[in-house]
Amino acid sequence: MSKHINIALIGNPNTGKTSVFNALTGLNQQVGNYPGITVEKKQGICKLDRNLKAHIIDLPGTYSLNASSLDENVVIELLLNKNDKDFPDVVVVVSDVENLKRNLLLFTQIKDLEIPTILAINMADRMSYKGISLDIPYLEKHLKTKIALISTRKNSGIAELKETIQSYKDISTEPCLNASEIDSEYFNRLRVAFPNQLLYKLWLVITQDVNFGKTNRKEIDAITSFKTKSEGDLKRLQQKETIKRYQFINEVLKIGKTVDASQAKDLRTRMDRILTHKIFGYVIFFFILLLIFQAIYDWSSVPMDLIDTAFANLSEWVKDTLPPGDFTNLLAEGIISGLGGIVIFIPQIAFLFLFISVLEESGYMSRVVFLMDRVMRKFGLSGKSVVPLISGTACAIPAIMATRNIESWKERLITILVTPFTTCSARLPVYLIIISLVIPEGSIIGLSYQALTLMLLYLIGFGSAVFSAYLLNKVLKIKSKTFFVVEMPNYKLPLLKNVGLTVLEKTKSFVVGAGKIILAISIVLWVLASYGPGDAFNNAEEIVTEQYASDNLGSEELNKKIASHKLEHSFIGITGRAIEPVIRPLGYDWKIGIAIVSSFAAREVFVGTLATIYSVGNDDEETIKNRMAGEVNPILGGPLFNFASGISLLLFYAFAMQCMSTLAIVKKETNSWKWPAYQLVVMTALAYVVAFASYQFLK
Amino acid sequence: MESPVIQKVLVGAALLIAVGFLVYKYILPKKSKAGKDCGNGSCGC
Repeated sequence: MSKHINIALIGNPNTGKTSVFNALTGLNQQVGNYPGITVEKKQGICKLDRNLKAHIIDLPGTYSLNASSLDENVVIELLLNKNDKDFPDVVVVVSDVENLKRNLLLFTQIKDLEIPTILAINMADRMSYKGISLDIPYLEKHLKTKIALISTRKNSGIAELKETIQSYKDISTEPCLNASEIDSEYFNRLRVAFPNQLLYKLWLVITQDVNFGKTNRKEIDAITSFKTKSEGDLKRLQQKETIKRYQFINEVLKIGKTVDASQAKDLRTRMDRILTHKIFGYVIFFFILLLIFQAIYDWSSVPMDLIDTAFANLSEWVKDTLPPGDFTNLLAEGIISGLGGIVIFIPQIAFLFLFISVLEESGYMSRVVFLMDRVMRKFGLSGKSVVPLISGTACAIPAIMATRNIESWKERLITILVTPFTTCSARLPVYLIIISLVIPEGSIIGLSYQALTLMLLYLIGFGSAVFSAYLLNKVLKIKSKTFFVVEMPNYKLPLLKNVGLTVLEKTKSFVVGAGKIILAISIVLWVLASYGPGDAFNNAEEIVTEQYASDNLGSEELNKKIASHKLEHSFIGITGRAIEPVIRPLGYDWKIGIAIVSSFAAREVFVGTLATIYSVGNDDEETIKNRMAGEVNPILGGPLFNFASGISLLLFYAFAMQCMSTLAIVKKETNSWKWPAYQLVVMTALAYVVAFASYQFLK
Repeated sequence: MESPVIQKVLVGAALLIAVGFLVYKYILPKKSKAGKDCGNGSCGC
């Protein structure tokens, strides 16, 4: 009489598990549902030899034994219940050779249930394409199992798998991980409370509320004196377990699996070889950056001019249409001008996010992260710091929050401290307006000077972050290192819908989020610029008329002189002139000083502030850019925004910590005011010194 | 809106709302936003 054994086929989704099932069972298959649930149950018979038949059950695909769905739960319920008629005598874990690391997580969990487990590594025919080689004896020794290298596509290795299954009794049931290592104190208590149970099985029962015989997690406390942990603590222990498993898997694969990209032959690998090449990779990335910045300038100039003119017209229309008075002036000179200062940048911001989104969607951004990792390590940063630094180009706040996955506190702290140097999108409006004023419009080999300047500012931001990290690394003496693993997605054509939604969402949050602050600050600034104390402000008309009585000025000229006098003696003018001595050495006048102070709340307020200040008392229909271009340096004469003061301003904003929200998030993440205070002082001092040096050198 | 007094009252109201918003945004202590996605600009950066 022939003997029957139960075999469970288990594996991650898309590992070819069903193909293995088909190869083993042929036409001897039955498809039904598990009792009570509509999860497909496939089973079949495989004749191993004359006296041994295998009842094979193809279980639903799962990534781990930490089930989150009904079909994943089927796998755990079977493995934890020895009384189940289908309980396996041997488990075959089907894995995919390209994703062996991820697949081994599930393998080690099943192995720790002390059930004989075979590792079937599928898609072996892809190994030569990918340049992968496996040290099977080494892997078998360290994973304490038997391995079958198979390819269901080429129908190879199936006979060897059957032979391995036949000798399943020779397979060690020794676990890969000692469960007590997860939390020795907790597991020791568990062992005392349930002396005859397998620790890892108990752990799965406790963490997953899976029925095991008549016992479930809630009843455990009731039956014995054992007190289990809170759900939050159990989840933390589960995470710890996953990390420990991956540490074990990494160690094993370090020797057991080698990938020689130079031997790989597939298209993706060939593309990776070029795009992540230690020289060409950087050259290609550099040219992609050049293209992006050039396109931002080329494509957005027309819509930007239209928006600028539209806001100037709207302001003029409001003044002409509404009855004259303070509120009409507030609308025309304060609110509309201030908002115009942010809306004008929508095209450029939308294009920037369009390119970033396309790079992310296509899979290229992961290659950039991989490329940058090489550079980062030389400066003592973790590879994990790359993600916050790159996402800092949008906003430093989520970037700083993204540092939470860096295990080493010191590396995380350094990343938090240097991330604000990365050029965030709030700096973009400041850069764009100043560049358009002080950098000539010419080009070199088809690349405009303005686009090159913008790119240089991004590189300065990134370079400062990396260099500061290097200095901090020396000062803080980091010893611990974290490892960095990035999964390279396949290359694909970006989905238009995804790209469109990202651009829309990012642009909207920029305009709405920043718009509210700019609107509020514009109102406050307009009031401060339109009212003032004392006779110098209230009697401005008489004073100016008397002062220029002998000059025979036209009424337009005289009105400009009055408006200028009033502005100088308004609340904002008095404040601005008080801080002017501090900023004069940088090439700025008091109006720029006010814009710098008000933009401490958020950098993009700078342009809105200048737009509001220059609009007050100005009856001409002018665009923001023209108003700024027309400003004259009161001491030296000539344009206020010239090459020297413009570069000084650009560098000031490249280094200054002009963002209250970032300081707040740094305080929250470091749980101390010490680090945001340090950031504020160092970055502001650095910005001042660099701006001062550049102005004095260039003027 | 013809009367200068009404215009001044409207300016005062606008100023009050603006200052109130800025105080709320930057000075009043906030509840923890942990876990909430703070996207570009939505946090005032």
